[in-house]
Amino acid sequence: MVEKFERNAFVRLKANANYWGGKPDFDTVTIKFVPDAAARVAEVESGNSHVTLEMPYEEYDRLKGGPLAGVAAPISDIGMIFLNDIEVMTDPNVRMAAAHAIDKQAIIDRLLSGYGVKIDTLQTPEYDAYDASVSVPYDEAKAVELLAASGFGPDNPVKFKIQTTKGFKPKDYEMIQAIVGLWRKVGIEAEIEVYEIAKHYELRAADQLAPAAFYNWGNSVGDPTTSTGFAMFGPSPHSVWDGEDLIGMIGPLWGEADEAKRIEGWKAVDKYIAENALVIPLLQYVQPILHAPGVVVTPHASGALLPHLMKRA
Amino acid sequence: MIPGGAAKQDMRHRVTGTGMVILRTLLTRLLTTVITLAGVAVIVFFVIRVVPGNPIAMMLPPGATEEDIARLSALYGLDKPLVTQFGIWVAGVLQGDFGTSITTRQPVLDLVLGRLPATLELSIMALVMAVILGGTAALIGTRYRGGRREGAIDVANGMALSVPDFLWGLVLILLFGVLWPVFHISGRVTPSLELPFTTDFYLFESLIRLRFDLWADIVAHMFMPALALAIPLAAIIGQLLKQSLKETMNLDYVTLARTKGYGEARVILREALRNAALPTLTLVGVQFTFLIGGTVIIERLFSYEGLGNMAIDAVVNRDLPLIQGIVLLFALIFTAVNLIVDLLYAVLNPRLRHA
Repeated sequence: MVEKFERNAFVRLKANANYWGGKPDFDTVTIKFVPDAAARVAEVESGNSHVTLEMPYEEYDRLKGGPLAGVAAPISDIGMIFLNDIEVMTDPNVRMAAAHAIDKQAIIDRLLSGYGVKIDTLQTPEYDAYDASVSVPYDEAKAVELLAASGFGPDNPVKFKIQTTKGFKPKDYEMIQAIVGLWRKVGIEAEIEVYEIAKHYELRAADQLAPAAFYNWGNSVGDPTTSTGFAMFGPSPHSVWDGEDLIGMIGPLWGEADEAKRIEGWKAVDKYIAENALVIPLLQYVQPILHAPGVVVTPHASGALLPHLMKRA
Repeated sequence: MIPGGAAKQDMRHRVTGTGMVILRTLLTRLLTTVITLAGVAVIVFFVIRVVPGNPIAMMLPPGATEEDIARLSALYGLDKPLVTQFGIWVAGVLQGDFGTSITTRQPVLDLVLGRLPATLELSIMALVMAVILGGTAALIGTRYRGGRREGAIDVANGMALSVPDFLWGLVLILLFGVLWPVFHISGRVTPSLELPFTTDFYLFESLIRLRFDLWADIVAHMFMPALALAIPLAAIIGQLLKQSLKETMNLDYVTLARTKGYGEARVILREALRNAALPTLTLVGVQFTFLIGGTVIIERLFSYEGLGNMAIDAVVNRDLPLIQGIVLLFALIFTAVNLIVDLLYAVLNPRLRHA
C-alpha cells in the first residue's frame, strides 16, 4: 500500500497484511527517485539504498563482483528502427538490404558488453506471439545483391536520413553510428540526424519521421497488440508504416476472440513484416540491477523493480 | 569637531540622502523589473513553442486516435493560434493563474511555489558557505600576502574555478557519500521521517520548532549540493575580495591605522574590510543569480526536490505551462536579487549616499 508519496522524491510502501499472496519479506519499502545514474550507484555503494537499476553496463560489470551483487535479465524494452513508407523506403530491396546488412550480435557484444538479445521481430522470446522460426540473418552479400537489383552499390549508394536520440537509451547514438558504418560497406549512405525524444514523438504522431528512425519500444504487458499492433497498424498515431496490406492483416486481429487464432494471426503478421522488412527490430534490452548482498532481487520482465519479488538473503 | 546642532543636521542630511537614493533605486528597478518580466514572458512563451517536441504527442496512450489528439489539444488550448494562446496565458498570469501543468494536472503556481522554498534554502545555504569559504580565503591570503599561504590559496581558488559545479558534486558524492559516507546523496529529507511542517521551508521551520533532529537530517541532505554550488562562487569571492583588500591595504588611512600600533589582523578586519567588501558585494549579487541558475543541474544530480529539478522534468516532458511558470519565477528571483544588491550598495556606499 502507498503510505507516503512525494513527487520526484520518493514513494514509501507499506506491506498489506491482508494481501492474498502472503506476507512480504519487508514491511516497508521506500523507492527514491534518483535520476542521475552516478548518484544512484553511489546510493547503493554507500549503503543508503539497497537496490538500484539502469546504470551503464561498464559500471555494472565493475561493481557486481565487489561488495555489491548484481543480476541482469532481458526485459520487454526493445531497440528498433522504424522505416517510413516514403522516398527510397518504398523500394523493398533497399529495406531488406538495410535489414540484412546489420550485424546485431556484433553491436550487442561490442557496444553493450554483451547485454542484449538479438531479435528479428517486435516480439521478444518471452511473448506468446514470439516465433523463433522468423529470422533476418546478417548477410552482407545478400544486402549487396538486393541493392544491386535496384541499381545501387558502394559506388552508387542509396541515400536516406536516419534519426536517432543520443543518450536516451544506452549507446543509442553509437549503435546507429555502427549501423551506418555497416550500411556504408554494402552501398547505403545514411545521414544521421540527432533529435530529442520529444521531437520523435511529435514527428511520429504527425507521420513525419525520416525514412529511418531509431526508437525503443516498451511492451510490459507482453501482448502482441502493444508491440506489433500499435507500432505497425497504419491508423495508429504510433505507427510509421502505413501500407494497406499490413492494415488489412492487422485489422481483424483487434477483435479476434479465439486466443490461439489471435496469436497465430500476430505471428503471421510478424513474419510478413520481417520478410518485407517493414521495420528493423534490433535487440531486446537487458536490465542491470545492483543490490546489497543482504537482498535477493528477482527481476521482472517489465523492467520494473517489484518490491514483493525482493527477499532477505 | 562638528558642533552638536550641525552634527544632527548632517545626520538628517545623510538619512534623507540615503532615503532618496533608495527610493530612486527602488522605483527605477521596479519599472525595469516589470519590463524585464514582460520581455521574459514573451520570449519564453514563443521560444518554447519553437523548440521541437509536442507535449500532446508525448501523452498519447498506445490506443490513441486522431480524435484523442484533437481532444487533448483543445483541453490544453494548444489548438488555438499562438497569439491567442499568449493572450489567454498573460491574462491568467495577471490574475494569479499560471495555468495547469500538462503532466501533473495541477495548478502551475501551486507546483512552483511548493518547490521554491527548497531552492531558496539551498541557494542561501550555498551563498553562506561561499561567503564563509571565500571570505576566509581572502582574509588569510591578505594576512599572509606574498607568502606560501597566499600561493596555496591562489592555487586552490584556481582549481575551484576551473572545475564546474556539477563535477564538484560528483567529487563530493565520491568523498562524502561513498568513501566516507557522512552526508546523504539524494533527496531533501530522509523518507522515513514524519515531518510536522506547515510550510515548505523545512530548514527554517525545523529550527523554529526546535526540532534539531530534523534540522540535522535536512542539513545532512543539503550539505553536498550546497557545497558543490558554493565552491566556484567561493573562489570568485576569495579572488576579488583579496584583490580589493590588497589595494585597500596600501591606502593612507590604513597606513595611519598601522602607525597607531594596530595589529595586522585588526587593520584588515576593522579598517580595510568594509571598504574592500563593496565591489565584492555587487559581484556576490550577480553571482548569486548564477548560483540559482546552477541549482538546475545540481538539484538533478542530488535528486533534490527543488525548482531546478522540476524545471528539467518540465523541459523533458515539454510541459509548456510549467516551463513558463518556472522561467518567469526565476526571472522574478533574478530581478529581486539584483534589486536587493542595488539597495544594499546604496546603503553601504557613502559616495552613493551623498549623491
